[in-house]
Amino acid sequence: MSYNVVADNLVKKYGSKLVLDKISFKIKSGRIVGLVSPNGSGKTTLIKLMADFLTADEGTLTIAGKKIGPETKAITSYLPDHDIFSKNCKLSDTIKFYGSYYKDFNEEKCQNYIKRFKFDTNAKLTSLSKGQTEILFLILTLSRDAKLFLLDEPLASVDPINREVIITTILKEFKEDSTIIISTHLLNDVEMILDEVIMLKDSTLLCHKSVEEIREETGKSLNDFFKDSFRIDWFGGDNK
Amino acid sequence: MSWNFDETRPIFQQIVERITMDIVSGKYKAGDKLPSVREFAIEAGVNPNTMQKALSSLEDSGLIITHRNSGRMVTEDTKLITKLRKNSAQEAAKSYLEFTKAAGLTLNEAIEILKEADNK
Repeated sequence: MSYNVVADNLVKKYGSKLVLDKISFKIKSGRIVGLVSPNGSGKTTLIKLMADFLTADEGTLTIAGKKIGPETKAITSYLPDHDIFSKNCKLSDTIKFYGSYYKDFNEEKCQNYIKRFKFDTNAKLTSLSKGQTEILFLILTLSRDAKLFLLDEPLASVDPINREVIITTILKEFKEDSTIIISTHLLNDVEMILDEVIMLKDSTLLCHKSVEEIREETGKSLNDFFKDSFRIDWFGGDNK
Repeated sequence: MSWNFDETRPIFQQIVERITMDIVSGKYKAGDKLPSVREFAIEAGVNPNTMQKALSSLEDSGLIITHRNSGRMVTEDTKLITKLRKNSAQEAAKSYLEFTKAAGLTLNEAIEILKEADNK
């Protein structure tokens, strides 16, 4: 089976600060992958490299067998962790603009979700709550027939009920011929839908493992495995 | 609503247990058509590959049959279901007796407690 996403020795620096240090991994199609790390360990930077919003200083990255560039951007659907549209836009204009920008945008699918979640397309983005905004952009992102979906913190500002809505929407839209990568620190909410997890620690890749294997080998939930991997040693070291 | 799981144990195993129980208890009857992998995964709130693995394992044990045209259904082998029902009850009985033994009760006392509980 061929790999959908292949990262080989990726290095990224901001000035003299090393943010990603020789990151390598391979991910197949038909997989949902969690990308987890404590804050400031390079999650968003790695996502931006795959979305081609940033360029690596060293190493190579291929998506669906193509070297990163305009061709991969066209088959990669990216949900940033921050707002990308002017808040003064009406929902209908936002959807129209988004749809005109991406050739693989499935207008019908998008409109079905807009109706199902009872969005008022005449309203302005400013009238939406943080959670509603998040759901709207998740719908736009998942309405593309892309090969790679990059969801950067899709659950960050959503209440528990809407978290379930988001999880179910991701499961509904998940396709065998694509890969979904979700960055999050809310592992409790997503661990049930993940195949694999990639953990970053201090700019390096700590592990890339099957989530079921982690449960089997350690008898821990992914959430506890994650916390134990990053636990601060309060009582160790020099106590003088 | 998604199913409840113990996140410290492999999920696929728990799905197998849950669907087996649903067949044994008659929620899904012999010959019933079952939801697709995707529908099951969404209902349970789990990864579709994990659900696929669980359903394959149930197929291996003969509890679920896949027809080329009509999809997955519960086996029509009612003897197999009866056997599994007995197995499940035996497992539950074993752990009950382990408890009563550890608590110092005789087998007769344990049986009496069962009868009393049934009368309540």
